[in-house]
Amino acid sequence: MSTDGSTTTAALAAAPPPTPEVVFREYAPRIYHLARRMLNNDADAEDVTGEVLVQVVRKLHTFRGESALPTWLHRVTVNAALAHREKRANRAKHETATGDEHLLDASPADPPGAVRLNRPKAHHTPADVVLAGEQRALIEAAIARLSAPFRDVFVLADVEGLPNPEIGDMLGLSVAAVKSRLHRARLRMRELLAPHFENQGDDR
Amino acid sequence: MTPLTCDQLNDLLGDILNNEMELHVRAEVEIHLGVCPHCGGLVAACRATITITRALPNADPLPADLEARLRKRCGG
Repeated sequence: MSTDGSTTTAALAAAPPPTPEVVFREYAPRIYHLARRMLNNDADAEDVTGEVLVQVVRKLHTFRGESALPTWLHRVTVNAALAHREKRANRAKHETATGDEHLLDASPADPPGAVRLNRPKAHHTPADVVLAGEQRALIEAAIARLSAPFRDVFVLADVEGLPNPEIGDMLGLSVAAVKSRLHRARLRMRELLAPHFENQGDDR
Repeated sequence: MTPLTCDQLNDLLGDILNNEMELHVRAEVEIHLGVCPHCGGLVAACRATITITRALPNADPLPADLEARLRKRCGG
């Protein structure tokens, strides 16, 4: 550590790896929320989060500082969630075979709720938008309605904010395929949420 | 310059929302959005959807019982 308070490249390179406590406090919630949105299931998300945390804690000594950790965690969490979903699908195969991966919706339509969303103005950034609990639930429910291939892309792009090439790498898709799925998912999300937006059509 | 049709604008929607347009395409899109309330509303609604979705919290603390189970699993 520098004695004069300055930060040098050498000091950064020698930064100690994050501690397990930091991983639990800072990263476990992110891992869990991503897994839950991808898998639509609390118990599955807990399983995946546990698997990922065990891997992370085991490999913590290989990280220098925290800068590389978020990217690695995204990748490991996505891989674990996809593997978990495949295992679950294989288990369920003998019970039912829907072959519905091409469909945009994961489940039949729910009855419309009474929750209203204030449409954010064009200059609003996500940080400016504060969602009440019931609004969050409404959006989470709409995301859960997307079928898995579209939900994966939507969650990684529009919830996690990852760039399309990175999403393509994680999911084994071309950038064109990511864009196409994202396009369809966004249109479906807009359809699902439109009845809940206030001020329909009064701004652009 | 031939004006964009609504179908063409729909095909460009992903690029519009990601702000990935060349200048001349952006100009054509702006012209179309200025005269077509339907497409204007579509783009506005999609932008609003993305904005509120990106506002979803990713790092809310875990429920205490869940965190305790996860710590136990990791030997913590």
